[in-house]
Amino acid sequence: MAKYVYDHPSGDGLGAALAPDADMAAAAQPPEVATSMRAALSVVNPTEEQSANLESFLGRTMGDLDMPSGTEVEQVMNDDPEDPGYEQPLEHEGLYVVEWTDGHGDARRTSVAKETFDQYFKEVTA
Amino acid sequence: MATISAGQIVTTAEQEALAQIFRKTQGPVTSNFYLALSTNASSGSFDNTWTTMAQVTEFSASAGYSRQIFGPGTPSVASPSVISNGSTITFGPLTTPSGTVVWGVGTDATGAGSGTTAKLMVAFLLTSSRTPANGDSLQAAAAAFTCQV
Repeated sequence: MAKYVYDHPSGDGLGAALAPDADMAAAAQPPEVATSMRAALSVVNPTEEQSANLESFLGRTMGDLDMPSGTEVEQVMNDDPEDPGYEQPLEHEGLYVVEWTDGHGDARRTSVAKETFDQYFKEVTA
Repeated sequence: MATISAGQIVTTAEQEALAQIFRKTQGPVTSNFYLALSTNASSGSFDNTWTTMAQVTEFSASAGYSRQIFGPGTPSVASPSVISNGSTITFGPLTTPSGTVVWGVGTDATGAGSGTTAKLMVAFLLTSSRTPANGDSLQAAAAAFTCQV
């Protein structure tokens, strides 16, 4: 897969750049989910590490989950030999799809408009 | 994203599983298993006899949304055995998201994780639906999506 770097001229994350009105400080998990997850963990007598891991997860914000400028991505290719688009860049509703690893080490797949891709994603050359 | 209720295997996937258990048919090759999001209503809308993503109202956004690789863990040594997503799953960041997410939908690898021909396999009804705002990401913890035979 071809590699690219998301490079925003002002250093904005992809989500922040495309949604300037977004509240990136908002919690990634709604309060009811946090309550439910803490309750579920409490019944198994968690270790300090387990509790700390849960609080770290629940403490994430939308900004933490954004794609920061400087992120290296790989453009996803269609790997279905039965599909007419086999071995071509995968498209989801006319958008490219890129794979990347976020700041927490989690694998992500994000669709990107072709105009946005051409504007902010620079190919990595060996 | 909310804690997820146990996934329901749709009818055709149940048939596939039984046929493999009883060695009636050859199972498919190992591949990615994808998780999509759906805005179908929680009741009277999602039909377990559906077979492909063409029948599902998939969540959409002007950008950012893509089906995620489910990454299943090992089925548990228990009865009933349970399988779940082995790692955190995150959708987004979403630009101009549309609708309320009510279901997580497991599909096979047809279409490489996109398109309406993907085979419908499992439906996960969210305990709490989510209506993402512009710029949001939707994240579920490891083991949030569980399924058992």
